[in-house]
Amino acid sequence: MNWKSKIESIGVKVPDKKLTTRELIDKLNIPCIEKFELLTGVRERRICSPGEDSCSLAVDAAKDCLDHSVYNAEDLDMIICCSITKYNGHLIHQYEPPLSIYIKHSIGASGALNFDITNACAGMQTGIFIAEDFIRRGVVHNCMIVSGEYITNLVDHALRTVKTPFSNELASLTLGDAGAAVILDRTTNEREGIIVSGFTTLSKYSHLCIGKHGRRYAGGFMKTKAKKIHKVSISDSVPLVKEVLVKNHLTFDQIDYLIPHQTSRNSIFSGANHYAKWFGQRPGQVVINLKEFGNTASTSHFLAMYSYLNEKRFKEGDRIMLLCFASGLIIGVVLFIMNDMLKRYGNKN
Amino acid sequence: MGTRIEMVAVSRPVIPFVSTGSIPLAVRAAKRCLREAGIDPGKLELLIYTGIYPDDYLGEPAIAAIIQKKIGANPQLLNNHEINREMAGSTFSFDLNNGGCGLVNGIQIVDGFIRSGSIQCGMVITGDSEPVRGLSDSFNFSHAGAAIILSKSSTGEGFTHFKTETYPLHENAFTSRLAFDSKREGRKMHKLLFVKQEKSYLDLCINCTMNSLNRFLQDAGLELQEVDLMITSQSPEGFALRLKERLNLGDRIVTLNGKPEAELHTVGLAFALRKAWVDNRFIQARNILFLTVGSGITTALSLYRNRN
Repeated sequence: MNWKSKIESIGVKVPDKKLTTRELIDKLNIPCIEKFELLTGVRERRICSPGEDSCSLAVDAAKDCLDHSVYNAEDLDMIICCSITKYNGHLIHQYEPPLSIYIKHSIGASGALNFDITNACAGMQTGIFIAEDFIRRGVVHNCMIVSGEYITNLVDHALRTVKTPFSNELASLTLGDAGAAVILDRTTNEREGIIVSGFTTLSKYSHLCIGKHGRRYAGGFMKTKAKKIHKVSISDSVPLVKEVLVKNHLTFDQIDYLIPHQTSRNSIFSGANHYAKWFGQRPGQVVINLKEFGNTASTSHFLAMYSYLNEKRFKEGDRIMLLCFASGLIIGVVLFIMNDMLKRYGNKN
Repeated sequence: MGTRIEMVAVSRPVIPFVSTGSIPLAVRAAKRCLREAGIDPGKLELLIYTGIYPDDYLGEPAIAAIIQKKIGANPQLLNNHEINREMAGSTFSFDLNNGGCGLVNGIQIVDGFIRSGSIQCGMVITGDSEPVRGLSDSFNFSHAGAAIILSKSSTGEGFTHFKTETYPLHENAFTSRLAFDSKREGRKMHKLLFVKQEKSYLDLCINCTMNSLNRFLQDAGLELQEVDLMITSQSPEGFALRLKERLNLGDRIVTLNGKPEAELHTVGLAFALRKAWVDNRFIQARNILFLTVGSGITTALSLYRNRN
């Protein structure tokens, strides 16, 4: 039997400490940078304090996810950790064993199959893509996909190197720290769950966004050719989205919520306008969640979803499309129908 | 319908013991694998890289994406704006990290997508190399690359069982971490890759493997005597030889003698498979057991059945 998958619960963890864009901009003596907040839509972001790192954010997000779930930790069949950053012990990057081992042991999911994957900002969606296949074939009943991103250490490097508004490290100033976790489980209900998850890697453009650990300083850096990557992402994702819609007998305006990767407000608006031009239609709502959290890398879609769940904006039956753009260059879509999970977030609708 | 191993290939630095980086080594193995299998890179629909130590501490993009570009596996969409076209001819890539067990986990994922009919052909690649030459403490692994092509089998052979287990008591028996070298305080600071292995790590790996092996054979309904060929990790050093003695397997387990093979890390399984492939032991065996062990301590086992 081929099973369908549904998102059963979502949990997040954001650090308490805030850093405003105003505070960042004041450290840069660059003309025209004043409009940075207006263009990006990022007013502030959360940053890790001592004692917090990728692993602790992921563990806390996983616990929050379990708090909203019908499952206990020991019920989990599989855990996939999808962080780009693998800090375990402030800025100590863990290669072996994988972070998923520590997360699994911390939450008490002793029987779960675990491994880490890395796929830039598309990590959690890639995890969903893998988990959906395991569930479809009946290998597992459920899977937790989890990520913790302590990524604001890139901001420190950018503050030292950004000298003009055209710097290839400017995008680092939009970043924020967060953890997110999702439990996927099987369903037989045709009116809920994941309709499709599809991805492709346009590796011709793999050089457009490069992130590395620094050799001589704590943390890392990221260099992005932002305009080029945005242009290619938007134009080359149209065929994928079109294919998904056509195969599922849907039109673009039948998507109730489009949740793109949270990069900057300007990019999201420009992308939405490009889509509207191509399809001649607009989705119900384009979700933007940048103001308080910035770009939280692989966790950004689920942080946005979590906010909307708690604000009781979704209703059962809503069609939600997660649109991924990530360095690689990865473009992908996860399309699903909202189920009764929203009741566990206080929504009686 | 199953998933068959189409080809396996390995690579080492052209100048022995001098690394050219894990990405070039992995690319060389991947190209060799495609060439020997007679498969066009455009046929690869899924590409998973399972190496652990990225060249120059790369964090993003996924190394798999860089390899995909270098081997020419659908690096871009064709006829970009013909929006009614099918997405045929596209490749999806990502990295998977699970220490010495990543290769088997990667094979399990590709096998799954082939079984569910989502893809026809995929590749699992790995590479081991010191990320920055000279900037590590106790990094003793050989520099090497490996690639395995998997495709849909309609004739019965293929993987039948997978099982991965962890032993939480020993999660810190082997660790590798990138951190500042505190011993160099006062001088020019830089990061080091610290690789730490408990003295008892080999014994622990053997014990954990024995437990996992017994459960796996039980799940698969197989006796040890029915295993015709065992292909295992080559790390920690001496693992395959110790297992050979412990299980009294004789020539039914593939061992690689002498350095640098003895220190092969994530590529070890593929090197053993290549050896069995070249000397025809793989094709002549009916029940082939893949067995990996790594940090965690994690064990990952898989059973492959040939047609004969």
